[in-house]
Amino acid sequence: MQDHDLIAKVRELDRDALDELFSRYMRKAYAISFNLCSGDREKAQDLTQEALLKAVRNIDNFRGEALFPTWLYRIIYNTYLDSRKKHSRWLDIFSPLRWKPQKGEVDKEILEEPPDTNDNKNPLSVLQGKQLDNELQNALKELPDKQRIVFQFKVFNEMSIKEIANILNSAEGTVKSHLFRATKHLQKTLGDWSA
Amino acid sequence: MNKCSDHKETLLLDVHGELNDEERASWEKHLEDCKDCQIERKRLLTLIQNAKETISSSALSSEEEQFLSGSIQRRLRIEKPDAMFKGVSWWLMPAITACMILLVAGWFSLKDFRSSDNVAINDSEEQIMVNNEDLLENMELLQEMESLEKLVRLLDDSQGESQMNQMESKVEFVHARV
Repeated sequence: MQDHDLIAKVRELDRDALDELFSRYMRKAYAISFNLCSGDREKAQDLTQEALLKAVRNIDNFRGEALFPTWLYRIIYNTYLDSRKKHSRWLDIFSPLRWKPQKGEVDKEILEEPPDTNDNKNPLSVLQGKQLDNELQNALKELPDKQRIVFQFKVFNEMSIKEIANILNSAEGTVKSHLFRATKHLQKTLGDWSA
Repeated sequence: MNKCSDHKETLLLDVHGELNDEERASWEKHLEDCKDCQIERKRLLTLIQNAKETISSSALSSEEEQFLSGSIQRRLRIEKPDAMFKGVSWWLMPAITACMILLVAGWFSLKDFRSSDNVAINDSEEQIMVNNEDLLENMELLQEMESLEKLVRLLDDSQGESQMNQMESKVEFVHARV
């Protein structure tokens, strides 16, 4: 069944159609949310849930000018921006109580994570993998929000520049510029990785 | 031959897989002769590949997927409990709710009004009962009063008769003198 037929059925409150829509786009929606939330699984699940709920509530507003996934990913991005705004408002209120990690300080989350019980994995390679992941996440966090998001959408979610421009409601040239700057920054920060 | 700086953007588009056929032909021609660009291209491709492999797995398990799907559908069911409201714009819901509240309030006030009528009727009946009781209690007194009244009337009548007799005699006397 094509997307537009499926959406027509969702508009008629068909539960099977809704299940089918979720099974088509839930995983991709979560993968995008996961990157937007910098690898926080819980936040990513909340974001996915909120965005899908908004999409279903506003399904009548989907006019089919863009592809359905593009429309859905734009909702995810806007929901993420809204949650960030709310979060930053809270941080402003409690800013005197805020604790900032010093530059170069080891992220405690890695040390506090439970050990991987999978016996097939070499513990050293697991640790190295986690360290590399942490290095990459830190390098991404140093980027301005738009550059980070464009890089993540392009590299991790394998979207085209045109699609990213549609989701972010930006010009393709702007998206290219963000992507190039982000790539250059990561090359500079993670110099050893290029070897 | 173009300088490498002219190909900076093309190089980045290439490593991100965004070159069109025309751009690719010209770029590959440059790449054949330019060692620096070949090295830079390889470095960037390695960086991007490492980043892709390193990033934590973002896969959603089937249990998590079912849980998310279930909780979304539950929230939707709370918002739209029945297909009855299908086609009704959601902005109309407050108006419909207000109408229902008014109806219920109207029903209760009408009920109160009816019950107050009954109270009034009951009140008047009770008053009649009380009056009757008063009458029964004062019956003797009333009977006495009635007999007194009769007596007064009799007296009045006897006085009237004597006065009439006097008047008649006076009239006869006048006639006689005339």
